[in-house]
Amino acid sequence: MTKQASALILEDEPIVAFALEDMLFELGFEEVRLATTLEAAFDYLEARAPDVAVLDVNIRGQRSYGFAEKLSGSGVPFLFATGYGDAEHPEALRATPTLTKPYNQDELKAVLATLTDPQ
Amino acid sequence: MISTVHPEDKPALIAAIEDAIERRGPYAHQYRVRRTDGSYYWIEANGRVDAGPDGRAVSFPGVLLDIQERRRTETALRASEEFNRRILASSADCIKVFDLDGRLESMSEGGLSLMEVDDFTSIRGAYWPDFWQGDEKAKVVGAIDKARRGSTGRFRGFATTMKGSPRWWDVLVTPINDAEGRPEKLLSVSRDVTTMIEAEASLRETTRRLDAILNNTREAVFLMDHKQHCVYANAAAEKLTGYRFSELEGRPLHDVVHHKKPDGSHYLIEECPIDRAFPERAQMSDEELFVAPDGSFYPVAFTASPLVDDEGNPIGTVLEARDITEEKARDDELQEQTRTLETLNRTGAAIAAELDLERMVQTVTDAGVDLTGAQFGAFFYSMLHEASESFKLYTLSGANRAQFERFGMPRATPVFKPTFDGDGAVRSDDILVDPRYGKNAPHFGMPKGHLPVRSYLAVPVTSRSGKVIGGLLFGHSEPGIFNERHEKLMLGVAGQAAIAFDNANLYREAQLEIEQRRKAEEQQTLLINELNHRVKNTLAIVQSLAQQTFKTEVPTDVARGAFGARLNALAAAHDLLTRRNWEKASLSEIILSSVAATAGAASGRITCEGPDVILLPQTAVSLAMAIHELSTNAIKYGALSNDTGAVTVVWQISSGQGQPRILLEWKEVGGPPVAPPARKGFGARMIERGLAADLSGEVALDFAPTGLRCFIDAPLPEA
Repeated sequence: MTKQASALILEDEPIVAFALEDMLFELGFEEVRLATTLEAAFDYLEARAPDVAVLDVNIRGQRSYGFAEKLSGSGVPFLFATGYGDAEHPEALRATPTLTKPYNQDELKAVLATLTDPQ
Repeated sequence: MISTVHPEDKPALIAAIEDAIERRGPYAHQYRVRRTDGSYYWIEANGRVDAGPDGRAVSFPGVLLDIQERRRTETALRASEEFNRRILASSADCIKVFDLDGRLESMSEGGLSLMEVDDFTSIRGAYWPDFWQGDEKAKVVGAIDKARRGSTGRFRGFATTMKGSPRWWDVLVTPINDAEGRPEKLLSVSRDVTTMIEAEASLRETTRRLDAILNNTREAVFLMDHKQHCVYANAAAEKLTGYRFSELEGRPLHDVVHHKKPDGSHYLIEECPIDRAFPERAQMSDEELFVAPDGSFYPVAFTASPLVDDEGNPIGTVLEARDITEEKARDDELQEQTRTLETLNRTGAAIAAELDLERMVQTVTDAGVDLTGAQFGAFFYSMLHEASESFKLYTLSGANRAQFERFGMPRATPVFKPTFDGDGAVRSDDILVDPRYGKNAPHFGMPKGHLPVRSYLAVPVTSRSGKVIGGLLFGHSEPGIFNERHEKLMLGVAGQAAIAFDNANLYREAQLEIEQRRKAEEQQTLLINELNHRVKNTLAIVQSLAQQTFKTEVPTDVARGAFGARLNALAAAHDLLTRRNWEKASLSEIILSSVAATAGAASGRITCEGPDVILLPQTAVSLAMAIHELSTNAIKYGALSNDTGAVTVVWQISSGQGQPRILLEWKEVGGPPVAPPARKGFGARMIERGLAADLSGEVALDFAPTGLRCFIDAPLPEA
């Protein structure tokens, strides 16, 4: 976990984002950047690629799939955390690990583990 | 002397002489003697044998007479009598000779055969009238009388032969006069006319029958000769043509009754199918138009048959003809009825199967035009246009829409109102002279240039509920087109149309309901999904709030109070958004509602001022939570913690360069002196980072000793 020093959160709900931020710190991340808009997320990625990213799917009415693909292209592992329990991701992103809100720290940890330690 | 006698006559002469000697008396004998030139001539020897006292012949005194001429005359006479006998014998008639009393003396051979007489002697001397029966007897007696008086008696009578065969006789009785010219005998020539009499009777019977047929048949019969001149016309023919036979006789019938065509042009006899029967030797049957004496036409059905002689040569034409005016009218009527029924049937089937209102009404309108013979028809809805007070045109047939719409729609005038009030049919043979017509401004009748209507028929289309759906209107530029039958037909069609209307409306309503239900279900699915999403998001928020409120460094009871208050604030924001259908909320509403939820009675000390700004739901929640944190802080530590402090929230829109921005200030005054907190908790994090991120702007907290201030500078949300 210590290798994953940097995390990027894309979440437009600040209260939820803060909780996630706290969890990530608890899980040992040294840096957590929080984007509440897609625009900010792209800016952060442009500035510096994180080691891992947690994406809400619906960001102010827009899907975050475009950004997700950008992350894929950049080789950044990521997971989705969404309130849409049974929503289907697009074909290319269907295999992306997805947490359904609400989730707890243990669930987050388990999913993050699959990202960094693929079986 | 004997030596000159003709050898043939010698034996007879010798015999005569010896006889005379034997008898001793006169004798006469004729024989031929040879002259010196070798020819023979007839002589008659007349003499007497004188006998002596001993009885012996002693002398032959006598003369020799030359009888050559006498002999010749006698031979001629005998030949003539023989000839006459043969004439009589050769006659096929029964020739008889009677005495003046009518007693039969002789009968010719032909007569014996005709009368079937085997033995003439059995009837010789019979009284002639006895051969006849009954009244015939008197005719015979009369004829005998006449002949006896020197003239000719003649009669025709019936009598049987001797063997009982029935015969008709034509009898002539004439006198045979003696040398002095007085009737001496009677001659009767009876001719067998049985065959003729029978033929005549047969002919009479045939003629009688033909006359009976020809004079009583209703078929007109004409006979034309080889020149196609009329030689016969029966009573029916006179009645048909309106001409007496005397007016037709000897004239070509074609010239009298068939000389022109309906267009007035001359009808050449060469083109005439009736007259073709003669040259073509074929029977022709067809229908033609004959010309009446007044020049009018009437339809006839005819059959023209060639009349041929025994060798098959045409010698004339027989024409039968019949006035078919009534038949044609009946046929036309029947065809019309059939067509009407077919149209009704077709229309009924079509509109019963039609659920599309416009197509159904079009079908009905077209059928109406078809059934009534109207030039144009239209269906108008009974609902009135509010502005024009006219009925609404729905479908048209026989005219295009522009022709109607140019003149405006019918209004509730005396002509149209009964139809749209459902008061039955309105029918006018000529609407221009109808008392209901032309009573209304501005046109007082049809507008100038309107489709020309004289004949008018309108029927209401009334729903089962009694509501008048509309009216079917039909027009024609000629007067007197629509009759009672049309009216009844259209009332029937209108009835069908009303049912179809009701059906189509029911169908449409059902379709609408199905569609609405389907949409509602879709909507419901969406709502459930959205609700699920929101609940989960809300749970995520609640979970996050809990996670951030219940920290190890915060006492549990304090944290529990803060968590409850935060949930209240969140609930208040949700309440407000729910009232606004989660679409948008105004800035002032959010602030007031959050303050009210948090500050309770003290909320009156918080004043708001600023123009109306619309926020998105998510921003509204963030703002509400931020205001809650500010209010809580004010109540606990700030201007609302004593009895004198107050809070003002003022915002304004700056419309400088670029996007307009909102500048908001939370300002506390009159509270206890303020010191910056030792540790920044959830409130500061929510305000400084959360709200700032949500607004994409900057939020600053200023813990000024005179009172807390919070500045927000963010782009004006594009709500």
